[in-house]
Amino acid sequence: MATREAGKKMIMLKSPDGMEFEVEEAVAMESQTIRKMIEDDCADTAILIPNINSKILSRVIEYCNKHVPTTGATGAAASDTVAPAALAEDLKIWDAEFIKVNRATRFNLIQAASYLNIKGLLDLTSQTTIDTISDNSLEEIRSFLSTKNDYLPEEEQTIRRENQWAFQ
Amino acid sequence: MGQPSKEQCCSSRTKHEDRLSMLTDDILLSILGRVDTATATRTSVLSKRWRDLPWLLPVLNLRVWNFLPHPCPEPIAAHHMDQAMSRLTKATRSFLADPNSKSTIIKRLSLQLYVTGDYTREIGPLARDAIDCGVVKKLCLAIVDEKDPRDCEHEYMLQQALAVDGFFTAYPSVFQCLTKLRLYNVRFAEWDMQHLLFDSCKQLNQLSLSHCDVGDSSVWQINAPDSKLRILEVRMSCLKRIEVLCLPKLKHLRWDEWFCFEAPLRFGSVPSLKGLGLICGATIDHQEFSLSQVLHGTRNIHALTLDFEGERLWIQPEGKQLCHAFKQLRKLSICGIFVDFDLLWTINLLEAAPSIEIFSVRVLFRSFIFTSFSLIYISHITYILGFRTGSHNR
Repeated sequence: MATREAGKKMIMLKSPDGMEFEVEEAVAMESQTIRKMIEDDCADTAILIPNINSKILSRVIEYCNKHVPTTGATGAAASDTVAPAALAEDLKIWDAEFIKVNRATRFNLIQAASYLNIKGLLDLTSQTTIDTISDNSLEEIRSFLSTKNDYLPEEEQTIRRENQWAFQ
Repeated sequence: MGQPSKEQCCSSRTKHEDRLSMLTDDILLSILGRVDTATATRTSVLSKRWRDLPWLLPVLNLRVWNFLPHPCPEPIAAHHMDQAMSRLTKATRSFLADPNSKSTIIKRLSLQLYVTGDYTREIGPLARDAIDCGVVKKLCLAIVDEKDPRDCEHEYMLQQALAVDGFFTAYPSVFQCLTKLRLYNVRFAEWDMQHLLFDSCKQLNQLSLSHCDVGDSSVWQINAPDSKLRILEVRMSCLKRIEVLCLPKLKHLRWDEWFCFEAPLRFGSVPSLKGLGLICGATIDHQEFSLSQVLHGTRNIHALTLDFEGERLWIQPEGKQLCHAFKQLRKLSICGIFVDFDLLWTINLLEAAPSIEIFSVRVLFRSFIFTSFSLIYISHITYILGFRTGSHNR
């Protein structure tokens, strides 16, 4: 495996459209899927990430880079140092900027976060959808998600009747 | 000419495409798992793609609080509680009835209920049957109560105990997979408490007791060498003391408000205890106690939180006496110190903790957080504390 800088292990990630990304192993290991590959020794030279194009993969790496716990001089996690609250606040602002993307990109990011098993990114990317589902009427949700109602009216009525407790 | 480019075509198609519904079940379930169960269930009428998803949720939350009106006027009226329980019962039936035909395993069921009315007579058997046929693997149970602890009479708490005990006696299957239990306003008989919480609930991992005891000013002795209990939370308790004689797996203990006036804890064998939190706004009657005596018996405390909630300090001034108990201490948080008190005494605690990594002090000013600083490296602590001088002023 390639190494760069003092003792920092590097790893190569490849997207299906042929782009290669060299990232620090610690950054890549923000993904539980990649972590498992590395720990199981299945990651000799480069890891091919299927189904995630280079544009999305680069955004995912950007996210992991920001969220990887950096280590301070004593080896303690930086997130514990001087002002953890300020650091968390900074990350929150960064996250809010990061997620200002169009819907297609957001759904691609959800898919990537799920495949790569990056909990923080999945939480972040799903939040808009979760809010939409929680705060809107069914018609509004359908319109937001472009979901076509393919039920017959009587089919929909049956489901509503059977689960009346949820619709009160 | 005039032909839209391939890219434009794709972008206009994706614009109107239901990208979310195209995601896998796993992803949609992870999204549905983050909204309350009634909301998740309503999505089943979005389209046929969503029809069965709510019933495939691997983690199911059936919480009575989700069925209260929103916003719910305080104090919560009896008829609102009753309506909420009625809806919860129907929800439970919808998810747990006919468990043998279910193909999904519910890894964790969180059930939160009131023991009012007859609803538990329907919910109990539904939960029991789902557990008996292996559909539910883990159960988190919260038997909640809305009565303010200050308004709870002795008889009321005994009545709550009867209802809780009755539920467990009627459906002993729930013990098999009960990993988390939360109770409110229950006054147990001493034997029942040990029997119910430790002899019967063998899988119990986390226990939270809000205003529960074995009698006013009583001592609760816990001696459970086989218990798997890792987290114990006690709130607003009339117990005079908890004596943890033996809880080998206990990792975290937090006690928020004790109403009796002496040292609230005593430890026997707690080899795994790493985190301890003591939170109390002392009244004039609360006596100062020796922290080193309370911690006697612990060997492994890594994180200690003391919160005085802006009131009197309830620990005696100690320094070197704490060395033994603080040997492994890495994080010390002292919160809610009344703003006029000096902070120099905190150095005595610090000096007794050679392995400290994080030391945090929060000062409280008329119930608002006035100033707060949090430090990590030992060299900085001297610097920050250096600007305060004076004696240990109470």
